[in-house]
Amino acid sequence: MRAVDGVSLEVAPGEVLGIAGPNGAGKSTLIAMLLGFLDPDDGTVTIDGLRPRAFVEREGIAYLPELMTLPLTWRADAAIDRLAALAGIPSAGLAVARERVIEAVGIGEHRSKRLKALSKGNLQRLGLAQALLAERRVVVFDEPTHGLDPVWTNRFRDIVGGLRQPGRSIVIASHSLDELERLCDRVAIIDHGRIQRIVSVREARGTGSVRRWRLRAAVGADVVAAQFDGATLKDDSIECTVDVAELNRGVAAAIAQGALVTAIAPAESSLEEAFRAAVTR
Amino acid sequence: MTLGSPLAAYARFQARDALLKALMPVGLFLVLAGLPIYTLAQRSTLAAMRAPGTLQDGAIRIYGEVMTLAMTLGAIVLMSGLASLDRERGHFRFLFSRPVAPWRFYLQQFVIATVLFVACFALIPVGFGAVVAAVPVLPALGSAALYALLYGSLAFLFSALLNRDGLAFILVMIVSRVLQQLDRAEQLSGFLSGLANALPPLQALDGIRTTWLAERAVTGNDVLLVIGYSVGMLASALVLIRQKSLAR
Repeated sequence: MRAVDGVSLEVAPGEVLGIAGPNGAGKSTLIAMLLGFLDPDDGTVTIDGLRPRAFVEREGIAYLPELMTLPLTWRADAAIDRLAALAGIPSAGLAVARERVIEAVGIGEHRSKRLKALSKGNLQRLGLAQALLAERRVVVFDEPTHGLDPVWTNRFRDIVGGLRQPGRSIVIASHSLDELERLCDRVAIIDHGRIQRIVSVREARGTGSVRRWRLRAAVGADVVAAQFDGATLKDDSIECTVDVAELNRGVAAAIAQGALVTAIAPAESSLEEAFRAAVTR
Repeated sequence: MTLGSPLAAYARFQARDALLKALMPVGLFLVLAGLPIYTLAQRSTLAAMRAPGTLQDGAIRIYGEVMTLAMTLGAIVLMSGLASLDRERGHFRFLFSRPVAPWRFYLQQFVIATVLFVACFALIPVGFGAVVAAVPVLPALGSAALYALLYGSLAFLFSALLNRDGLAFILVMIVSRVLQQLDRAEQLSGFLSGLANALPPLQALDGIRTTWLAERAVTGNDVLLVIGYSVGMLASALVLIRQKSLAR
């Protein structure tokens, strides 16, 4: 059985690439190959011209795995100290590095607890802390917001924003299309072990490509619906498929005829549309 | 940042992890030998046990038997699951996304564990000597070092090769012991005799230990065989770790 097959993908320095796909699509296998934990039977994986293991052994990768699989008897601060030492942080700078990441992910009150006493969200924050210990040119996050509450999901987005640098490549695998759409430049949609399509999220956000919109009108919903070919109307909600220019023209015309439009939003994000089209299950 | 420095910095954590396992033979000895010796001493006095005689001979016999058991079990526990547990439990994802070579990481762990094992093992003859009667210390430490090397490298090899390595290790150990005992008694010939000689030289190791503890000279060939076989298995384990995928 092939977990991934015929995958061809390049991540540029300074880019944030998302990997989306349903369970069992091959995301984790792809990441294991990127870190050199698995060798492909056929084909090559290189980072900066080196085989992944050679690259990792030379300079390391900031990596947050999907599951926090550190020994549960370790204390949180001791776990960070161990992984900081192994990351090459000198003894003199260990305490400073530890405090910096503990502060960044807000687990100060849990620092002396054993990992088995931490909640799922705090474990995930600890995982994020260890990934932030050293400055790396390559960052890989596998389901990074898994188990995080909404506050920390937002905070994670800020952290990733802070990690963006011209020379740094960031890869994020996630089930959350919303998260990928907010954080990434491009998103590779993978299914059945193959890249089904690559969506340039930034372009999709900025252009007036045709997409499905949902509008609400307090008055004259039928007038709004009449402006767009093929529009559907249910109560005060209208759905239509047009580009941005056509949308504006139609809304302006409806308002001129007395309609009161209260909301306009994409019926689904461009990434969701692409995902739906690419993944057939 | 040099490649060697993260590993050197991590050595203290590896030493901490290995220390508990390295102390296991001492604990085992205290339980299995300490209690019988204490019972013997209760029949008379500790002073009587410290004087040459039947009581002291009994205590020394207990010391010899339990020390051998502690040496064997301790060496097995020391290295079992060395690489396979990190693999099975997923620790490797955190350890080896950092700038370290896995084979160097495990070689360092092997060396640290072996040194600690021998150092802790010294507590047994030294402690026994202080409480009951003087026994040779260096032969006991030499034996402990060889046990850690041979059993440790065998356990490490299986750990590098397989995920469920414990069963395979025990199987090879039993088969080696049985075949080598039969071969020594000249009850094997042909393929089985060749197989007995190809398997890890556990019987030769037992012979070295017995001879050393009796303070007699050992032929260099047996020691070389045990060391050579151990180094071969250790090198094979390291090559496997370097060549095979970490995620299996």
